[in-house]
This record gives sequence, C-alpha cells and structure tokens, in this order.
Amino acid sequence: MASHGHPSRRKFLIVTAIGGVIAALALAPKGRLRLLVPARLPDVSSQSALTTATLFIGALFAHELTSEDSADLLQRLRETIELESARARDYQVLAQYLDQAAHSSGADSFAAATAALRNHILGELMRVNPGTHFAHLLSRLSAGRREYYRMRASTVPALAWLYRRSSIPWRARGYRRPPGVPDDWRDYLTAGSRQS
Amino acid sequence: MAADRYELCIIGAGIAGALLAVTAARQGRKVLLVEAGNRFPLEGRRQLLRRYDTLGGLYVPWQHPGRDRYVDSSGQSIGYPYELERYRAKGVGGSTLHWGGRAQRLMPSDFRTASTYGLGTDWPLSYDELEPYYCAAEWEIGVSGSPHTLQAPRSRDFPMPGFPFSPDERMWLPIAQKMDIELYSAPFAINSMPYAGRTSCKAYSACNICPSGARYCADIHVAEAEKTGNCVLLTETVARRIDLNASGTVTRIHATTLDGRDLEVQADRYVIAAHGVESARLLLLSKCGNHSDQVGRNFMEHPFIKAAGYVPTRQFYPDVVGFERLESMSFYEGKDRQKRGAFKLEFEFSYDPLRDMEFDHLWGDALARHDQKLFGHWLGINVETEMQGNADSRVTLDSKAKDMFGDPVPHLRIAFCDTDIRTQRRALQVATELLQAAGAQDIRPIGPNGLSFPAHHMGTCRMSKDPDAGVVDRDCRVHGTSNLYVVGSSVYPTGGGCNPTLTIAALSLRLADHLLQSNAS
Repeated sequence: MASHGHPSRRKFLIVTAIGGVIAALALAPKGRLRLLVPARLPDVSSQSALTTATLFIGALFAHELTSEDSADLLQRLRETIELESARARDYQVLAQYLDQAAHSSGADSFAAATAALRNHILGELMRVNPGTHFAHLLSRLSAGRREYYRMRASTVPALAWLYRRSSIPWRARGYRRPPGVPDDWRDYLTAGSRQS
Repeated sequence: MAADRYELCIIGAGIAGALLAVTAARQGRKVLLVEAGNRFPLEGRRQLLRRYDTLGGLYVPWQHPGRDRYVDSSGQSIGYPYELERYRAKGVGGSTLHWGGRAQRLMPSDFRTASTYGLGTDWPLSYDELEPYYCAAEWEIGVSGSPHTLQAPRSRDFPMPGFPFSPDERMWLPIAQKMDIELYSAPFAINSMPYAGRTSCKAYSACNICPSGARYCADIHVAEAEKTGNCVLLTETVARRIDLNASGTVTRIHATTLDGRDLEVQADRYVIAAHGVESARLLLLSKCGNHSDQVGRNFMEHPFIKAAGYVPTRQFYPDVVGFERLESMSFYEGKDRQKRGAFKLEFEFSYDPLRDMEFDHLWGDALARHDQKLFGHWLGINVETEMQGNADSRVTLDSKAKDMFGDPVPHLRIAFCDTDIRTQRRALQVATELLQAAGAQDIRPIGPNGLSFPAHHMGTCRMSKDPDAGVVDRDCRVHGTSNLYVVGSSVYPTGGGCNPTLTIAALSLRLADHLLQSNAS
C-alpha cells in the first residue's frame, strides 16, 4: 500500500541517484582513468613499469636518485614481485597511470617528463583521498576508478615503505652504516659514529 | 597419536611453553608440545627481515588468514580498534619471535595492589615467592642489566652487564636530576656479550626480527627440549577442544593440523600456554574452568601514552643500535597511587619523519624538508601504563565469525575504567613536562589521544585464591580440575607497568617446579 502512496518520492529518489552517479562521474578526474581497465594493462612492459615506479619514488620523496639508488630500488621491486606476484600488476597500473598523465600534458611518458611535470602529476595523485564515501561509491561503479583508488591507497604506501626501509634515505641523511647492516653494538657509545 | 601417552602436554611453544618443556625434558619427562604456528629458524631470519623490509606491513610471516581470524569491538568502548593480528605471533617461539627484548620484573607492590593502594586485586602469590624464579629466568634466557634501587629487589646479579647510555641518552641525566627523576639502563634479553652459545648484539637496528640471535627467542629452548629426545613438537597443529570428565580430570585434547588431520592427545597433565587471547578461547570452546564466568574477563594491556617534541638545538643519532635503554620508574609508586595505576617511562630518539607522508599529507619537496628538519631533532617519551582488570574488558567467543576449522573466533573488547583514564592523563602530563624541560617545541601526543598498545595480552585466566574470583589457583591449576593448568600472562591478576615476558618466564619455571615435584611425590 505504501508504494502506491509515494510514487513521486520514489521517482525523486531514482532521479537523484542517477543524477548523483552522473555528477560523480563528471566530477571525477577524467581521461587517463578510463584506460585503467585490467584487460588492457599489458601495454606497459614489466621492466619499464619498474623503472617508472622508481622514478615515482624519487618524486615522492624529492630524492634525486643515483644510479646506485635506482638499481637498489629496482632490485627490491623485483623481490616484491617474486614474493607476491600480484605486485607486478600494481606497478603496471601505476606506470600506465603516470604515463597517461604525462602524455595528456604533452610529454611522451612519465620518465620523459620534466621534474615540474612529475611533481604536478604526483600532487594530483597524492591529493586523492580514497577513504571518502564518494571514493567508495565510485569504486563500486567503475573498475577503472577502483584501480585508481587502490593505487593511491595501497600501491603508493607500499612503494613508500620500500624506500623508507632501504638504505637510501639513511645514506642521504649521512649514515654510513644504515639499519640492517651489522656492526659492533658499542658503536652507539660514540655520537655520530654512523655518520660519514 | 592416540597411542602415545605423554607425561606432559603443553599447548603453545612460546616462552612459557618452551621453558616448561625444556625443564621437564631435561629431567627425563616425556613432553608433547603442540604449536599452532610453524618454525621460523634463526638461519632464515635475515631473509625474513628482507621480506619485511620489502613487503612491509602486508607481510607478517607468522600470520595465517584462516587460522587467526578475530573480531574486535574495542572501538565501541575506547574509541579505537585493537589490531590483534599485527601483535600476536603464532609460531615456535611465540611472541619472542618479534619482541623488543625488555626483560623487567614486576615490582613487589604489583603483587598486592589491593592491600597497598586499594586498587585492583592481590595476587595469591608474593613477589618473594617468585623472586628465585625471576633469577632463574634471567639466567635461562640471558638478560643484560644494571641493578638500580628503583627496580625490584634481587638476590642474584644479572648474567650480563647492562647496555650503557648513549651520548643522546646522557642528555637526559641533568634534566631528570633537576626534576628528581631517577634513570637507569633497562634490562634486555639481548646479549651484551656472548652468552649461552649466542653472539653479542650485532646492532642490526632491526630488533623486531633479530637476524643475529643475540636477542633471546624461545625457539632456542624448544630446540634444546627436542634434543633431549624427551620432547615431541607438533607444529601447525591447533588445539581445539579439551575433554574434561565429571570428576574434573582432563582425559584428552583434540587438535587439528592446518592440512586438516584430526588428532587426539593424551597426557597425565595438560598445560595451556597459548597467550592472553587463545588460552581463554580454548577454555571457553571446551567449557572448562568457567564455573564462575571469569574466563576471558579482565583482559589487560599496557596502554602506551606517547608524546614527542622537536628539539632544534640538539643533534641526535636515531636507530644506531635498534633499542633504547633509558627508563625511569620514579612514577611507579608515589603519593597519588591510590587514584591511579603504575607507570614506567621510556625515552625515545628513533623516529622516521618520512612516515608522516600519510599522516600529515606530505610529499615531494615538503616531505624532504620535513625530514631534514625533524630527523635527529626529535625526542619522544613512551609511558607504559598500568591498566586495571575489569570484567567488561574481555575475550569472548564471537557468535557469528568462524575460523578455518569452523570454531568461533575470539571476540575482543578492551574497556578502560576511570582509574585507567586517570593513569593515562597523569602519564601524558609527566611526559609533556619532561619534554618541556628538555627544551622541546611543538610537543604533541602521538597517535589518537597519545594512545597505542604494545601487544601485552594479560589477565583473561586470572589467578585467584577464591575459585569464584578467578580461573586458576596459585599453582596455575584451573580451579575445579585435577590436571589442567594455564601459564603465561593470561593468569596475571594485575599487570603493573612493566613488560610482561620475564614474569611469564618466572611463572613457567615455578610451574615446572611444581609439576615435577608433585609428580615425583
């Protein structure tokens, strides 16, 4: 009986829901996300995806990586894939996103982009908040959006962890022996003993 | 398995189970050790560390998603979830696989808080009775320490000298003196010199998975027990039910391996040493020892209250050795103790500003500047506070969620009482005053309300003289049973403000004495 009593309310709710979805899709970042569909991912070879991921780490921490740093990060990224094969896909999604973002701004790829453009792309991604209701709603509606928010919520923090737990930031801070490398414990009795 | 009969069946191969097993096995007793997790031998730890460094928080080697499910509703009572899975370690060695190594005794007053301060409950056991076992535990696991008047009294020296203060830590000495606070070097189960066939600390600065073996892990004692030929270890085998007959005697334990084989285990005596959550859960699943509805209640943690500040005028050297030694028990007792619990101060310099990326929404140049500014200029104080046992802070069986075997998973709900809140407020006040005295700027609590948890699970099978007030008696025997025991931090009536592991070890050695003597007689 109640359903006969409120046809206009139901219509209003349906129209509002459809409008909300259209508005959400219209407001969400455009273009580059449309291609983040799993079936199309093999566009980016795994090696170039890893290289792009190391460049992204460099931008994330504003760290000009030496060739030694890059080699270290590449090795660690490969290890993560050996331990968890799903990581390869995460890196491919990220690389594809970064390359598309660079391309839409006139660069051939993220690797070929200027430092300023890389920072711009980084900022766009880092300002995304995947924890909002809006993000959850969009994730349910579109596989591409789901990938996008997952990239921000999971892949980016995982790359940040990888860098933080490597010896690279410690070297940048002047430690000649970073955590993870053994020595005599008495070393700590001298201030700055680990500094170069 | 049903054909084999053991003198002692121990559930859990953490430090409590390991010490009990090795003590019994050394005396020729036939022991079966049942462990839900796997072995993580020393030779593989460097690789474990590397995996942790690359895979990060997503990789916790001792977790098993089907076995270790749980439900937490602590958010309803304290406002924050409790991440049990990050904190407990199921494996040979138990929590000592990833502990920090702090090996502190409880204070004598912790055993009689009700009669001394009108708070909590008294243990049916005194500090003096446990003291010889504390000494034995320190020598078994190897503790490096420097005696201090503020620590609990001792009848025997530490087996190894303590770790001296670093230049950074010495900075606190004049400040503390002005504030009438005494500092000492904390005792650690980390070798300051070669001990018991293990190396001295190699300063990996990665103590959560010590690759050198300098930090004690209980798998050492499990291995020794096995070597005697008197101890059989079953790994990846989950104890699921205890059969208790009408006269209060356990007749067998039912277990299932992770690959699905059901086992029945028979022994003369049974000891549950499965930590604060699973010990209670096994009793609840088996409907054992819960005649007074006490099993699972009084769950206690050591709420950590953390504050930190920025010190531009000094340069510190974080993470040089991996553990920080400076402690104070000056606020453990005191004139306001009838209104609040005990607490202990720990002083920190190790802090990675880069981890603020997510918390403070920093990246790129801003994150680099943040690191440049704060790294080596950060002072932190952790206050390990006492939590009172209360009936509403408890482990129950969840009514819906099941583990891989179809058994109800533990449902955890931590609840604070007014005394806990007063303790935490006082702790934050002390930490803030100290940081101000050290010249720190921008002092702030770390974490929600400055609160975090160090994974000390205590109290769910409380020891009591009166069977209606607890689960086990002073000998750790489950009230109303003849051959079922619980040992570990789950039996603590109070938890004090000191790390629980050494007391677990002491209680285990005391239980071993009790079982071996009564068996002999």
